[in-house]
Amino acid sequence: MIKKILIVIVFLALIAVPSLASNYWVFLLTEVFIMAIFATSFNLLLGYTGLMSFGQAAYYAVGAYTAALLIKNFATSLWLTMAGGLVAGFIVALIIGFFCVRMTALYFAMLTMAFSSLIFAVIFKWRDLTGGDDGISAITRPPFNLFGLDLSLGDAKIYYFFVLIMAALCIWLMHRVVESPLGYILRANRDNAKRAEFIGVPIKRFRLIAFAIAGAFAGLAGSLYTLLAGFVSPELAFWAKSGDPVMMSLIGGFHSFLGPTLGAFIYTLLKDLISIKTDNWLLYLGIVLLVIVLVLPEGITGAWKKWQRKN
Amino acid sequence: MKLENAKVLLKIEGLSVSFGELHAVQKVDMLVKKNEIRALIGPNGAGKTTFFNLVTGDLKPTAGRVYYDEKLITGRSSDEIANMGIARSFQITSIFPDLTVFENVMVPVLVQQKRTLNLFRQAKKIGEVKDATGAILEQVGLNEIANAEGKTLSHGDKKRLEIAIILANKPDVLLLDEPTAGMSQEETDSTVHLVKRLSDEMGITVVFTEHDMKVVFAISDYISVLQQGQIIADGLPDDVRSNKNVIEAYIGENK
Repeated sequence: MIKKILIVIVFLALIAVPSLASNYWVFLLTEVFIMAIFATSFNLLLGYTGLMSFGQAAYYAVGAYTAALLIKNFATSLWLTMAGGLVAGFIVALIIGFFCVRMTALYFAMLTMAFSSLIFAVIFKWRDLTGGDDGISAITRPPFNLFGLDLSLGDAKIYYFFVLIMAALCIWLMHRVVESPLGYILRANRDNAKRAEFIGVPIKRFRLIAFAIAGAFAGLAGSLYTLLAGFVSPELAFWAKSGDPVMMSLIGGFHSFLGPTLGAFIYTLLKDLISIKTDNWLLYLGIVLLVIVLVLPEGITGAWKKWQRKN
Repeated sequence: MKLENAKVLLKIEGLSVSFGELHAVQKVDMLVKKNEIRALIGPNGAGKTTFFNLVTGDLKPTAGRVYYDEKLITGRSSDEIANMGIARSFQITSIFPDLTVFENVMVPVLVQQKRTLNLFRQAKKIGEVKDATGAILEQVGLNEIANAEGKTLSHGDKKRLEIAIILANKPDVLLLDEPTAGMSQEETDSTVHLVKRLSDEMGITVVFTEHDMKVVFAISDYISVLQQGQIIADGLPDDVRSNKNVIEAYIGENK
């Protein structure tokens, strides 16, 4: 109950932000919403399927580049651009996942990382298509028509609302996934793959399904980022980017569905706020993260649950 | 006797597996009839668990064949074999620790009802799933602790939960690896009672390994004795009890 009230309050506060805060905050929070989709999709794997992927940036970047190329080359509509990001993330995850789900634990993590490095190399080297290390710039948001109402997404505040609603929708959809029969099969795989197999679950197939769903949402998040930044570069596929959703999930707590969303808020805001104060931001960010992970080993939501149980 | 005209459900021919020089299971033949309760006994390291691993597709045999209901199942994957109707429990209790008791049983119910690919409904709100899960929890007497997490259960309750999980699969054959190991006398009695009831009321075929001879002689229709990977005796409980080889190899050693 407290949780539901809290979610409603936060949501209302977020709706109020554009009329109260500067464009800096509007931009930053839009990025937070995108990261929340990305981190939650990652946690479908870590928190619900028991698979530690260290290569989710690959699908994020594939979605981002697909969106950029669609707009640049075909001037696609908003929905088609986003659908492109989603489908591209899904397909690439399906192909890469086919190989990765044969492995578990550390080997799975290494393999996902290796494939993401491969995607990075392709983006970096395929100049003709991707612009290499220059990336693709000056991407403008397509017009947005909602039931005859023409909304200009070029306005940062309107795009903010659009992404807020998209993030709420995506996170709700992913929540439906984890509560569905499929979601429970994934949890069974996480808890005890052997037991799952011996009650008739073809576990590799289900790991692959989870991987592809996570890839699709990561791709969608990537396309929303392209529309936010108006610019894509190979950095999006760099292995360090794959660490972002991992950190967010650890900070927020990956045993809780909304943990990664909370983590996305804290991590993105911290990173930005510290980096405008000092060039040594990595040092301070590292210290803050260390403290969080050491003091709250199950993340903030984990600590909250423990505290609730005690009282 | 009840099994005289029953059909053979599990036919095992010359089943063998070796790990290098170690011949863990050697040329084991076995016929298990429908609705039979078969005990597989033998000292530690005799190959009982390995035998289960071979039958359920967890290990590939180096030779031999397993037929289930006249279909060859050797070489099939564990999940396929499970879906055909052979369920097993593990010597080291194997449940879903972070799921509640209810969810532990709901998962195989979802598999059994072929709903695993359903993305559009909330699992716990599907009437048939709730009913089937509730019925099994009642059957094994775990309904009072349906909301407890698996990992918080006592050892005996975990063992019972595992039986509930495999029952939810609606198997025709249960392979139980040491179902009463580590249980109190009371828990053992209730498990024995449960297995007997499953056999009597639902016609389930049971193959189980067991160290407790009281349990073995209480419920078995037929006993096979395994030693160093080979069947050294098999027959009705009374025959096995008086078999010289068995007394030397196994029962004698315990007394």
